[in-house]
Amino acid sequence: MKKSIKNNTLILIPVFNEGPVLGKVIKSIQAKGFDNILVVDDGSTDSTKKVAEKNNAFVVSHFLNRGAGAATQTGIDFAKEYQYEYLVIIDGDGQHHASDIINLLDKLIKTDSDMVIGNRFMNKENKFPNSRIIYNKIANLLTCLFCNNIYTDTQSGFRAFNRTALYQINIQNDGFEFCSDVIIMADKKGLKITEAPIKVTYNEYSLNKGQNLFMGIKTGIKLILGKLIKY
Amino acid sequence: MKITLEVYQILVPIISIVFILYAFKQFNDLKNTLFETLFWTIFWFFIIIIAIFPEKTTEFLANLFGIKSNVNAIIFFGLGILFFFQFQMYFGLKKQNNTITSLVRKIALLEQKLKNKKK
Repeated sequence: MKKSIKNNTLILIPVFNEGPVLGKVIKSIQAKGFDNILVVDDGSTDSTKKVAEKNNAFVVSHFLNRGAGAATQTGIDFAKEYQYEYLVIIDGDGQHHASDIINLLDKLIKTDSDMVIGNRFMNKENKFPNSRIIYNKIANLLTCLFCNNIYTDTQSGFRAFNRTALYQINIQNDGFEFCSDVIIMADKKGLKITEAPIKVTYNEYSLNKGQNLFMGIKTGIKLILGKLIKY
Repeated sequence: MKITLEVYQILVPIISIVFILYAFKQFNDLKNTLFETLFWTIFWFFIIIIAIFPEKTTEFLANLFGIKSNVNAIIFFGLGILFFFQFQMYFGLKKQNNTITSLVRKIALLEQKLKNKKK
């Protein structure tokens, strides 16, 4: 991949209390040649901010914990402010692999897409806990109800966007329902969305950090309420 | 004609009047809108009417909604009001949450900009 593309790409890591693993995640991204890394610290109470600063990432800190959706929108605003051409969002818990950033960007550029979703289910090597499979299937169904196209991993946090998409997306929901919201918004606005396989590694740490079935039900209810009742 | 009043028929109107006066005080202090003041005044006035004429008002409600018993009518009506308030609170809370998020995000980005300028 050309250096100019890497220099024009912002890697966004929205985090809340990821101190123990964040350093490793940042180093793995830097090792792939990406220097523009933004950590949006969503009101962490641990060493997250210090770890990010120590590893030479840009840091934007929320003084209150507002949720993954809010942290992501802050990152999008940062990317617009500093006029990055591409934005890649990656989880800070270490479940994603930095090598996939290049795959997502490649797909984004080669297919002339506005948004690429890192699809965990397209990579047959990935192993998922049963609760995650059920949760994701329900979430996919709910999300696609509001879309014109079918997407098979709507809850993936690993995504790439071009500048057009950044200006079209405005996340209104603070919580995890933003994953679906962004897809619905992009789909409705006619942006080109594609999916690319990614590798994920679930360990005890990342499983405890991510969404579980209970949170999924809450997210689903919020998503439907949010779509049915506009205020 | 002899009118007998139960204790609640005296207490409820007194409490309701206190709430109406409170609503007007809030309006006077610019803490409530005119719409809110009118809404609460009508609401508490309605409670006074129900307390003073329980039979007639509940009968009227039962007939209006096609419910057979007076008690059921008042329960349904009460539930409806509770749901209305619940929704009002939900919207209010959501709006406040969005405002807080917006502030937190703006402050975070401003702090980052200032930090960059100092460097």
